[in-house]
Amino acid sequence: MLLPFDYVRARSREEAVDLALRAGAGGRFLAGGTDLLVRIHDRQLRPKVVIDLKGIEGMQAINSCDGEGLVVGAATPLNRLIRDELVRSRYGLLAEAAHTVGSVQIRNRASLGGNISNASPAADTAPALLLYEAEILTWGPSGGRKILIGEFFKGPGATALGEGEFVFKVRLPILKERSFGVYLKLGRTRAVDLAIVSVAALALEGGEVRLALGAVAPTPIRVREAEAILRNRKDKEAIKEAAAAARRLAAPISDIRASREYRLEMTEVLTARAIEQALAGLAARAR
Amino acid sequence: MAAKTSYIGAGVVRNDAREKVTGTARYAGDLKFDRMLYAKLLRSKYAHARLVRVDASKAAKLPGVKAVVTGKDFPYRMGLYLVDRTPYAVDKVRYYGEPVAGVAAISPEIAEEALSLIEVEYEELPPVLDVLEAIKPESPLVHPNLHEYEHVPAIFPVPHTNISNHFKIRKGDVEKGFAEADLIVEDTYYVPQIQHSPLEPHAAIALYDREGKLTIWASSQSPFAMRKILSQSLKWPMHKIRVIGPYVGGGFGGKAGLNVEATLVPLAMKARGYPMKLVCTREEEFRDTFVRQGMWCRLKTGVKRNGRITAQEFEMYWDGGAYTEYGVNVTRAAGYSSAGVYDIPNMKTDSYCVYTNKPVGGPLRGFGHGENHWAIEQHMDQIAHRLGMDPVEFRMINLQREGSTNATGQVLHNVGIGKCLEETARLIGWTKVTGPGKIEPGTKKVRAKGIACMTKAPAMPNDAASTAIVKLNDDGTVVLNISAQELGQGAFTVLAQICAEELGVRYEDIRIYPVDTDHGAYEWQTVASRITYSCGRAVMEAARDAKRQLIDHASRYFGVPAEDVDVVDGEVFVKSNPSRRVPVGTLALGATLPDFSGYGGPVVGRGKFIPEGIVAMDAETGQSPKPVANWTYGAQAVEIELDLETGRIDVKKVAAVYDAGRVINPVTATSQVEGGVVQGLSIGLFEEMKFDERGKLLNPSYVDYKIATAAEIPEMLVGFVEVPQEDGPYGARGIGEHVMVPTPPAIANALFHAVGVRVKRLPMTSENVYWALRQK
Repeated sequence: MLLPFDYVRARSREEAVDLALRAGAGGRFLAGGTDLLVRIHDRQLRPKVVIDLKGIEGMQAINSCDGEGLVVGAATPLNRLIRDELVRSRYGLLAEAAHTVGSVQIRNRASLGGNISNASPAADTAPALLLYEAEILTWGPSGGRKILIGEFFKGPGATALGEGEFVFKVRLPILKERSFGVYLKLGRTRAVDLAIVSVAALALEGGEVRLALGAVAPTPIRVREAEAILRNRKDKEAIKEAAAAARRLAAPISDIRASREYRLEMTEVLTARAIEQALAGLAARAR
Repeated sequence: MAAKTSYIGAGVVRNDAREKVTGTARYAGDLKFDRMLYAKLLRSKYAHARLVRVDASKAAKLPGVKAVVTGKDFPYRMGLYLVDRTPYAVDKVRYYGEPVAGVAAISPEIAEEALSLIEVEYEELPPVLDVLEAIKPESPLVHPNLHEYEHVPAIFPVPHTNISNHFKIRKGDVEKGFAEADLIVEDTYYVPQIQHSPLEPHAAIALYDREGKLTIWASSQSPFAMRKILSQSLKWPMHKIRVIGPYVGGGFGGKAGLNVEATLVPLAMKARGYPMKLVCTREEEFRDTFVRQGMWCRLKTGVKRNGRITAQEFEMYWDGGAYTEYGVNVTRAAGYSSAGVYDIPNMKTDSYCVYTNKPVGGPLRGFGHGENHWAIEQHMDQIAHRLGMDPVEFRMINLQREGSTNATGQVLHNVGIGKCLEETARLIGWTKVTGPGKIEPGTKKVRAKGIACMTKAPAMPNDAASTAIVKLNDDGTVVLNISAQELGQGAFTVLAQICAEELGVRYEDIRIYPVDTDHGAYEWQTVASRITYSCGRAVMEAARDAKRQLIDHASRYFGVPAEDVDVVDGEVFVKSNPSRRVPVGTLALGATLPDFSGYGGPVVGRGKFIPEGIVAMDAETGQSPKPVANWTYGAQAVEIELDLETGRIDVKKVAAVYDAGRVINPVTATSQVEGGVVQGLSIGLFEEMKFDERGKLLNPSYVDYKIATAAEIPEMLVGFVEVPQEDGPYGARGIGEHVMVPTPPAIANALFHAVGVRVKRLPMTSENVYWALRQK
């Protein structure tokens, strides 16, 4: 049963911040609510005021800006993101990853901003955002600021957001090169599950291969040391080394979903597979 | 003359489809009444603890609270087979989640607040969580007073132990059998506690009115059994208890007997005149209704080099949980079916139901057979492997057939398992197993097939009966009064088909209404895959009775002999002169004769059924010439793809063939099989209730208790064999539970064929399989 709280739909960024500051620790921002409401229901959170951000202009828009890439409103439901032509064609990895969140019904509500603000180590969109080097555009008491995705996650459930600050938009920079991304998610079931281990690989035409891991560290992580191994070599041996490096960089826990040891093993297996598939996909695209 | 279209074997559209698709079907949770209160339960935070003090006085004073009860207010033990369970804990709590107190208030919020005002002081006792520890003499006792509990004669508790039932099979001479064997194979197997996962959680509304009558609306498979248990426990006449059962949104056994409804009774008695509703949260649904019992077992089999089994020894230890009022019968059923589908001359089986401080074990689709077949069907493959024989070939040598005996010494006739196994093997494209599976080129995946058989009987008292009443309306439409429950399995559809067939009316003109113990025909319970078989026979008889009355009316009406009249498609006509015909409605309330005098009267047909000749099994040997009503056989084969690097098993294809005796509705029968296969697959790959070291359930939600999703559903090839059941309607027998039993062992056998690795513990999760692969 839900404990009672006040619901306020903010009409502007300024109002949202104002409401949040007034509510202090008792305030929570709401976008899709698919994480928030479950926590309120389970009494993990007992907010006094829930501030709905969806009414703020631009919060649910997807815009292509010349020279600036794609800007996605933080409250954009994942299903809209997945179906967006620009996202699909230019940032296919993000669409693919977003498609693995929950179920169709959940994705009708769950938002991109919520997925990262919730800061689960297993957040499915996070590895893709790390590889696209997204910028998180926030709004807070001192106005707007920009946080690089690599600096956004601080720990399980913790982000760089300050008091009264929320994710307003997510900017995906233009990728000048042709690329091919792969997101491999190992859950217990094939759908409607959280990741035990997830691996994203993005192969770029210039030879770079970017790698990120989910659910195997306190935050989603980009594993640049593993990437470096693939800088000039893409042979089987290099892929194996990169996968081993990814495993070394992972620091998973044991929990009800999987043991630490299994997560480590799977990090290596999935990293190798993701690299192979990304390289093969890029090669096919180049043809 | 009208062409008679048979409804038997016809895939008519389900008669509940429209209501359910449009959302107008009503379930217990949908019902609302004036002045309705909301009930909530305070549940134990300890698995095993003495209740030092329960003080609900502050809760009772909270404005809006209409009733508060604790165990001391209502210390009545209840139970279907063993009377061991109180609705609220009385002197001690026996599992984490057991109700300690209950509140009914004018809003759910106030009820919840009231719970927080109840003070409980516990003195923690050592929890008994492991079934093998629980059977040791030094183990703490979950029920020290077990020796005082009443039980049905077929149950054998062992006083001053945690064993609430010890079922035995002693057939032939096991020692001699093992001495004759060329090879003896022995192994152990384990299944964890699991949940039914119905879409609709348990829900009930109770009203104790000014006249002292208790009415319960419940999502229940067992309105009549619920009434009986309450009447026996409270010593109330049955007319003071009325149970009404709207549609049930999935039961799978979890809504059999008396369950959460019992907690409402003392609350309702304290708040006379107020209906009060209790709807389980999903967490409560997982932990605080029935669960499937866990089971650890040891199985030992002797076999000749030619493949013939000579002896079997089987020990099963059931993790029965805190109360085993229903679970004791699961362990009995698994005991008397412990030969599986095989003809084994010498057998010794010991099936022990054991109390633990875990959620309450009870019936779950399969009723002990998913568990014992997990062991038996892997074991058979292990023996075949050791003998160097193909698993199908080995099974064929040992299958029960005409004249074979099963574990109870019953001589079997018309056994369909051979045909089922042959057809299953054909559908899956079985080829002799030779060596390990083949790795798919360019991948790290291997494909392989596995097969498993099963048999099960309805596990019920020997006198479990059904009745049916067929009433004709003036317009020729029909009320079929039966008290089978529609759980989603299609019972109403099949029973209406039988009624239409026998009475000669249109299927669409038959209506079945929600179960009501005050007005409805008697039905034992909607469990044990027995409705088509048992209630079906009652409907058949009731419809024939009604038809006889119609024909009698028609004979006088037309002035022809009764033999010259028939009823087809809602019309009554003279066979020798078919132009003389009237709609059934014309004669439904009697016949108006040419002189305008009346004859006959309203047509009411009645029918009943009880399976006859079931003889109690011997207490020491479990032997009986006819221990159960009937046996249904079936076989399944699976084709899996195993990911060698992750341990993930993808079930690609399942073939399932069952001897249904006669398929009444091929569409619902097929969907029943498909649903069972998916549930079996889910239990095989994903499902396990996990507890911490103090007995707290760690995964009471779908976040971490996984069930198969649509993405896991394999290609399914369903077939039926029809070896008629002598006393079944048109030869039909039940298949509802059977269809999920062999899926897990078939998958395990396929895994072995793929890589030579055997997982003997459910579930076969990716991680569990991965470590098994690594250990090889």
